[in-house]
Order: sequence, then C-alpha cells, then structure tokens
Amino acid sequence: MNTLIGIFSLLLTTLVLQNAVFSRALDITSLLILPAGRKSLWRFGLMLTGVTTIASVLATLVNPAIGQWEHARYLRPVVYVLLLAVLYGFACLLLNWKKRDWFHDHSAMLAMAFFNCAAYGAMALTVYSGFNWLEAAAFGLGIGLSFLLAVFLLEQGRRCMSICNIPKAFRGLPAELVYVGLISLSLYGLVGHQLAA
Amino acid sequence: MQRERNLVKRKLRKELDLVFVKNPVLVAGLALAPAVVGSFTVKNGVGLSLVFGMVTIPVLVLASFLGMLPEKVPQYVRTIACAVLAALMLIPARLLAGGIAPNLFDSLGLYFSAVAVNTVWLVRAPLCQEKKPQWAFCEGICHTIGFSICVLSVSALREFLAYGTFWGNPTALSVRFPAVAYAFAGFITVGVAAAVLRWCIDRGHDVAALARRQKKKWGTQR
Repeated sequence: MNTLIGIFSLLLTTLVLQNAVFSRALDITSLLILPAGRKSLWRFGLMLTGVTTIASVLATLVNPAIGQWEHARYLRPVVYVLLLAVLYGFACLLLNWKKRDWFHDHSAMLAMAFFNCAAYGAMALTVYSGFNWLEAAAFGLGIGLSFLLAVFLLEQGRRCMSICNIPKAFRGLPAELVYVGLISLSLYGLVGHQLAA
Repeated sequence: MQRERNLVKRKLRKELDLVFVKNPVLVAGLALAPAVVGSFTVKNGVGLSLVFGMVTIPVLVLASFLGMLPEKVPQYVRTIACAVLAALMLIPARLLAGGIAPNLFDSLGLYFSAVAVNTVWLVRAPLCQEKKPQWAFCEGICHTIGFSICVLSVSALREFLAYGTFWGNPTALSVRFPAVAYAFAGFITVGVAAAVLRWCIDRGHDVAALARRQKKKWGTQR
C-alpha cells in the first residue's frame, strides 16, 4: 500500500509540480514545432510516454555498472544516448517488419520521439534521484504524461490566441513561448516557491 | 564561370540566412530547452555554444557523407550513426568546457549533455545528406553562430538582471530581479527575443523593398 501511495505521489509530482515541459522545458521544441493537428501531437505524446518509461527503467538498471567505471562522469551521458539509439534501432526494425507503411509515414516523428531532451532527461533525472526500477517507471511515465498535459494546455492556448489580435511580430512561436512561460510561472507559484527579496 | 560564382554566392547567402533570418532558436524553434533553461549566466551561454558547435557541426558533416551511401541503407541506420557521433562528441566538449568554469556542469546540469540530442541536427541531418560536405560544414557553422548569438544575448541579459553581474563580475546595476534566472523567465525572454528578431527582419525587408523601388524609379527617370 505504501509503495502504491509513493508511486502515485511521484506520478502526481512529475505531472504537475515538476512538469517536464513547464518546469524544465524538456521537449518544448517538439511541442511547438510539430504540426498542430490533434492526432499528430497526441500520437507523438503517446510515443514519447512509452520511450521515457522504458528509457528510465533501462537507465536505472544500467547505472550500477556505469558507476564502477573510472571515467563514469564522462561516459554516462554517452551511454544514455547510445541506449536511446539501441531502443530506436530496435523499434525501427520491429515496425519496419510488422507495420511498414505506418513506419514510413511516421519515421521522422519516431526519430524525434527517441532523440529528445525529455527521453534523455528522464534517464538522467531518474539516476540522479536514485530511484528503483518501479519508481523509475513511474517517473518516466509521469514525464510522458506531463508532455500530454502540455499538449492539451497548448491546444487551448492556441485556440484562444487564434481569435485574439496579436501583434504581427508576436504571432506564432513568440506568443506560444510567452504563453508557456506564464503557465510555468503559475506552476512555480503553485509549488509555493518564494522569490528571494 | 560567372554562373558557378553566382551559384556559390546564392548558396552562401542561403547558409548565412541561418544566422538571423532563419535563426535555429528564435525563428525555427529548435534546441529551445538549453536556450530557455540553461542560459541564465554568460558562462553557461558560452558552455552551451561550445557543446552545440562541437556536436552539431561534425554530425551535419557526417550526414553529408552518409548521403553518399547507397539508397539500400535505411534512413534510421543513418540517424543512429549521427546519434552515436553526437554522443561521442560530448567527451571532448566536456573536457574543453571544464576549462571555462569548473562549476559549469553543476550549473547546467543535464542541459549540457542534452545538447547531444538537440533537434537542429535531428531535423537538418536528413537534408544535409543531399549536400556536399563543405556546404554541410558551412551550415553547421551558421547554425552554431545563430544559436550562440541567441543564447549569449539571452544569458547576458538574464545574468545582468538576475544577479547584476557579467561573467561573474559585478556591474553598476543596483536593482536585481532574481526571478529572471528561473525557467519561466527564460521562456518569456526567448519569446520576446524571437518577436524582436521577427520585427527587425520585417523592417529589413521593408527597407530592402523601398530601396529596390527607389532604384527602379531612378533608373526609369534617367
């Protein structure tokens, strides 16, 4: 029971209080530059959730072995990216074999789902926090779900911005960045941080 | 000969557009995470620019060479090769960046190494497969200059406002705004910088169009 409560609170923390997009700007690029169509962003979000969950668990399992190397602090990031490359290769082989047409249509999105700051950040933060494999899976799942929450909030924001009279210089990326910044500020206040006087 | 020179000039202008007109961060929205969160001191900005250049330039050149492989080699194999090189370039980048400031990695955290999975090479590498290596190298240099200009200007402004320092040295500013060092201020600062750049580019186009009209008018009057 305690484990379940711990997992749930970790998930909630990652989803809201330490949202990967609004608090750490992880994978903010994919959120803003991918086509704004409903299906494509949500599909990407689901792919990313799967990648972050699996990558977090793998990082936790591999970390004890890396820790014993002499130059671990130089090699750890390299190993994380290589792990992502292996996962990506495995996913591509599987999809190319089973769903070739879907794979060819979504190959660019698949590459972005594996090689991004959220997947790398999930691995690095999991190891930094010292989670076990179950907590790592919850943390990775939380990062993916926090991206999906960001997709939902950005969709609402874009809907509002489309009917506002935004100055020409601010239309598109600048206004969206300011919007994300304001949500980030509100979450920062929700956590209860106080700024130094 | 003249035709070749004109072609080279046009290609060069297209690459130089990547610095301002098609800036990778402020216009294309690529590599935003390190630019937004990591750029709150000038030392961080220099460290990020260094690792960005050391990762992106070799990867784009490699992508150009990978384009010479037969078409049978699938695209995902080329992407994996680029990712492996990007990861390996982190090692010399970390060694060099350690010389800038010993506590740079504590300051930047995961954002230093996360530059290895930046979206600039991910998006541009497939396109560089159709370019010659020298033009891919030129594109890498221009992307690096564009990224560095954005990150250094944002980080200088944020350090100045948040801590009243520049490169750790105190300045004349007496009022400080510590909030500017946090992530939300990074989003807003980069967003405003993107708007300012867009305004400047639009004004530049207006001035160029006016100059062309005037030139045509004087030409017809003569």
